[in-house]
Amino acid sequence: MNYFEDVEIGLSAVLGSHTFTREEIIAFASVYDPQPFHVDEEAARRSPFGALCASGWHTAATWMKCLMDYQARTLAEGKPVRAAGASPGFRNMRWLKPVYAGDTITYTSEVTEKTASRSKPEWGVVRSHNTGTNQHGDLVFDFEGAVLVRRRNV
Amino acid sequence: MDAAPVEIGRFTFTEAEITRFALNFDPQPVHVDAEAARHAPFGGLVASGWHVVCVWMGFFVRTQGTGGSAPAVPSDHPRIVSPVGVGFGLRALRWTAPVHAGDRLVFLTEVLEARASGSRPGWTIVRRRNSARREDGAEVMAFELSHLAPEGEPAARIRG
Repeated sequence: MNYFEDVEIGLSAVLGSHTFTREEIIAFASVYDPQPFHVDEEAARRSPFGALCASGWHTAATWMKCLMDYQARTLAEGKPVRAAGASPGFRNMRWLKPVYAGDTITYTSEVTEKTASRSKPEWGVVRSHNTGTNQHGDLVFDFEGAVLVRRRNV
Repeated sequence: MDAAPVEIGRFTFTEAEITRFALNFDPQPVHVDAEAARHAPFGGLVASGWHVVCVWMGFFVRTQGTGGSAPAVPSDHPRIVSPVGVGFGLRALRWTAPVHAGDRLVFLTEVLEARASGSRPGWTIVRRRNSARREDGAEVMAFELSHLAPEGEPAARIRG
């Protein structure tokens, strides 16, 4: 296990990539964000985006999935994974460009800050800058994440 | 301007719902494995925080976005192309308490500020505080969202 003490500021990782298909954009948005430009191709053409695009929450939740897949691969390679707990939340989530059907988004995470928790001595808070970039190299999404990570020997 | 949060929906996070979302997006044992979750700090299966915010969004779109009902409005009018508005992003989201399997949450929105967009005629810049709480009143999630909304719509809709 990697504990709070092992976390290095500046450490970054490419978590993985995901291609957003038309079908999954519509399936997600039909439940969680049924705005016309996420569920209806014809309406999307008339919208400010000009074509069907993914819900921002779909883009965000897929970052989480890529992080989980990345950790599973790391474990499978016999390398230590972070002893992470819950997330207290995040800051400054930005949806900078639309994610269109067929776009492939590559997600990253970089450690920016770590702080020992005063109220919970067995945990520290690790902050990260997280991004999604499309196949053209355009940054489409970013946010400042936070997660609790266990202290060693506490 | 509205002075109080307005309820947009209620949702029960059943074990099946929690697991279904988490298998797709957040497959941590505490969200997908009831047996493993029993031995974890929360003492049982809890919903992914992403799931909670996505359910909020679903209610928000369904309650705010009634779409093109006015016949005089052209098909490219903001009210038609984006009845809810277009997301800008959000400043801070906090998950303040676990959502256990079986918890029923109340989803809320409150307009903090609304002003006409200087650069985009027909659109309003709206800043909201959005949240979810358990039926016993404990808040489990809150965030502030700024977005572009069709002019005059948000305040009128949530008063109604």
